[in-house]
Amino acid sequence: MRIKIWFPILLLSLLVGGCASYIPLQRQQTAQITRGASQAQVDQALGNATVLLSHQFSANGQQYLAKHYDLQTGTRREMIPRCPSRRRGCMPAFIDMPIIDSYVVVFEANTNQVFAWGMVEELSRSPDDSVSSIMPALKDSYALARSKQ
Amino acid sequence: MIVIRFILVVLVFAMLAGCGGGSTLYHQQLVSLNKGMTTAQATQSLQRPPASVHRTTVDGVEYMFHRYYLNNGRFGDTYLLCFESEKLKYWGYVEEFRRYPDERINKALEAVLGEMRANKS
Repeated sequence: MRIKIWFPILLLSLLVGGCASYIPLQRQQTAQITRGASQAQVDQALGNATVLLSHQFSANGQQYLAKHYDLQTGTRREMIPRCPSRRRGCMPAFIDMPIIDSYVVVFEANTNQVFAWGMVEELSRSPDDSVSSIMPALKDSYALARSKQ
Repeated sequence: MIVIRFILVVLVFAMLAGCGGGSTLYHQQLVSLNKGMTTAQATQSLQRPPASVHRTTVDGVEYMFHRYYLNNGRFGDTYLLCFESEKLKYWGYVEEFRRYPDERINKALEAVLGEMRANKS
């Protein structure tokens, strides 16, 4: 009987705990990033958004620091079956799920100032060659850092 | 009765295959693209062949466009990869190409769109 009570409570607290430790970025936060801002200013602007990964890499003879986030770009409505009891059967329930995209803020390591920011895909095709040219190195370094996690 | 069932099953599979779309991309796939890739590298990284390939020359520079469809949740929007002298230069939606700050690419896009319209009609 005890395990019947404690197991759902444990499961629920784990789930809630998981939600609390992961906060995706919002557009209002990214709108506050400006070119040349310091790392401290960016951290303040992005508030409590979860940094998924932080890694240093070099490209074009420069050292950079990249901080990766998830950006919430919208929500999608998903239907899940809710089955309160066998007698009453299942009813459809709708929940809003976030749509996320990979977002990165790149700092120049020697000045500690923002060099580039945006979605990874967006920066890769930037018309500014100084930005797009560092992206292959950033992605390689990111893959390596992720494999070590 | 069996024949009708068989036809229905075949029809459903045919419709599903149509939805899959050999040249439909998903947003996550775009992360693998890098400027300077060759056409073969880009196609390999997307793991999809383009729906069509178009060539044009602007001011003596050769451009090649690979046409894909990017899944937008309900269907696919035209999504283009532009190669300048065989190297990947830019990729995006038509509107993004029009905003791109390179007049030659803007002109190349319009030429290619004209060709696509002509092929349709």
